[in-house]
Amino acid sequence: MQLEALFNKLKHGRRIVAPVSREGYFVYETVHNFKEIAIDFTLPIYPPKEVMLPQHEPVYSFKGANVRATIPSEKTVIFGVRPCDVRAIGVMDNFMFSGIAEPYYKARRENTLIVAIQCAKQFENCFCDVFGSFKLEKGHDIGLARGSGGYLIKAGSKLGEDTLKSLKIKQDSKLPQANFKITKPHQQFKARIGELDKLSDSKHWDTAATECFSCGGCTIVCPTCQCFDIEDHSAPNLATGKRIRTWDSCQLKPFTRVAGKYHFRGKRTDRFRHRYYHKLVWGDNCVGCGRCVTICPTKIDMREVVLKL
Amino acid sequence: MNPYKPKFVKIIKVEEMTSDIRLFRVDFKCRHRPGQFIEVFLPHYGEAPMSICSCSTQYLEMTVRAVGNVTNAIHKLNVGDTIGIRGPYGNGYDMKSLKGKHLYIIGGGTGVAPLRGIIKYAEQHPKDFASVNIFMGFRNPEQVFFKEDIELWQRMFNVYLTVDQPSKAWRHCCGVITTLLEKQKLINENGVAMTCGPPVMIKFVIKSLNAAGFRNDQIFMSLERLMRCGIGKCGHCMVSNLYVCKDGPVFRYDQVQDKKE
Ligand SMILES: Cc1cc2nc3c(=O)[nH]c(=O)nc-3n(C[C@H](O)[C@H](O)[C@H](O)COP(=O)(O)OP(=O)(O)OC[C@H]3O[C@@H](n4cnc5c(N)ncnc54)[C@H](O)[C@@H]3O)c2cc1C
Ligand code: SF4
Ligand code: SF4
Ligand code: FES
Repeated sequence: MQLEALFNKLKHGRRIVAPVSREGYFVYETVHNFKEIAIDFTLPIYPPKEVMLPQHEPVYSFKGANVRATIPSEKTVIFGVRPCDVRAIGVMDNFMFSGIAEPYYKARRENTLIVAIQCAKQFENCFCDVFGSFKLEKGHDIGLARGSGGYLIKAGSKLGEDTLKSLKIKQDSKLPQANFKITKPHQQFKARIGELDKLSDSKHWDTAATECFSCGGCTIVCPTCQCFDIEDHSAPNLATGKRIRTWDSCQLKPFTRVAGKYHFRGKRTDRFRHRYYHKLVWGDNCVGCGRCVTICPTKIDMREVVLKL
Repeated sequence: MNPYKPKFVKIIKVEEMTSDIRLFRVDFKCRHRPGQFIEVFLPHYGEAPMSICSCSTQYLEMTVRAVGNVTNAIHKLNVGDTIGIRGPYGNGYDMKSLKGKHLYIIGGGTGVAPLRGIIKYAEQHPKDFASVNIFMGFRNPEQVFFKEDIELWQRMFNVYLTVDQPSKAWRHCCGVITTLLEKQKLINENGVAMTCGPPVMIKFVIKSLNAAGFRNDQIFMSLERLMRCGIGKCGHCMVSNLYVCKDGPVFRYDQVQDKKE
């Protein structure tokens, strides 16, 4: 299968978001031409979550008591999603769809087609071997893997089947699966995760947190972090305004600030630990992409922290 | 239905309760439970979560303390003005499950507001409960609110009031709320306690209740956290793995006692 042919067929009526190379990093951007794509990309520094959860999104605009909300309907393809990110999208889906569904995420997600691409090897800081998230099992619509004579292609969902059929693209019978054996240190890390619920009083939380700036970088790059704020943005004459949903981070001190300037997680250690428990203990929310390690200005490595508790 | 969109409704009653607390009745009809809350929206100021302090399908009441941007702006509103409401949110109290029990309703300061809905329910269903016992603590007599309600409750239920700093005219107890609790013989068997107030107060109330033989699964409390969405998505209200906006704000104490922030 020629990727360019697939790209050109998918392009009709759909926005395509794919990894491109920018200043030494790979990032997801809207592309119009196959040549823009950095097809030998490693792990993009940001996950593709912005396609479904833009960093800033108006939830409604108002004029007096007149409220207008527009649910997005643009069809988008994310072309080139790593298996760990496919799993992360599944984690986010479960959260965003449960109970009262988040309407904007839901609308964008339902209009998104995921073209996943198998990894031939792990990249720097990847620890998908801990969670088995290198496997491309479910959650993607179309799966790609490099074979000896070009790329192999196989649908991963009903939407993928239908799309390939309507585009008259022939599927391969099977995609080769990656199999990254779990390393020794990662085995220890995994065992330690199982004991975390008993380690919340460890002294090492304080020690580790002294290295943290509370910059929130780790949550911004995390494919399963969704926390947000909602703020009023008013026109200068106060005739109209918008309520805008914006990414927020549990690592920032004002995140739990209530009136009277009281912060429920005012201590850095409490914020630091909250992220670890949310990612590793309260549900399988970490997929081992390693982005939080890569981005951290003081190179705090989740694996080392957990092993030292 | 877009859960973020508020419904604009008219304010139908405003009552001054203290120098910084006002009660607002709004024309918002819905079914709700005591202990649930709404998000109140004032264009250009923002949203604030407010406990529902009434118990009616015909209107909602909230007691607003002016502490910041949104709440001060709400205080400037009068009867006939409009305000955006969405909700009701949260679990609230399942009053039917408390049938036949002795209710101990213990509130301090603004924490009295969410408890008023429970008492209003008891007003409407007086035969449902073995007894209704209300304990309320305020800073000083000027800070006491729901004065009219209290007069009615004194005729229907057992009401105990205390203030930290009494005036000459103050006829009730003085001191912290736990002294009030310790003076009464509490019926722990078949009793449930419902409490809301500042974290320090709650801590000592629980101590007193435990000393009176209440188990932690007989104690309920309303928690307050920063809330942005009210629908379990923004993450702000998390206490450990719990989302106060949807798993709470009412929690049974044994289910939260070991949670770290
Ligand atoms: C479930 C629930 C029920 C409640 N019920 C009641 C009730 O019945 N009655 C009542 O009076 N109150 C109630 N409250 C509390 C009430 O919601 C708050 O007092 C109210 O939101 C304060 O809003 P404000 O804009 O007036 O205050 P502000 O202090 O101006 O701001 C409110 C919030 O905005 C944020 N903020 C403001 N400035 C900044 C800044 N510079 N940087 C970062 N963040 C900032 C803070 O996080 C702050 O908590 C309840 C709260 C909850 C969660
Ligand atoms: S990226 Fe590093 S320094 Fe910044 S909040 Fe996360 S752990 Fe702390
Ligand atoms: S916690 Fe770190 S490694 Fe885990 S999914 Fe988030 S960014 Fe990736
Ligand atoms: S208020 Fe947003 S998750 Fe609870």
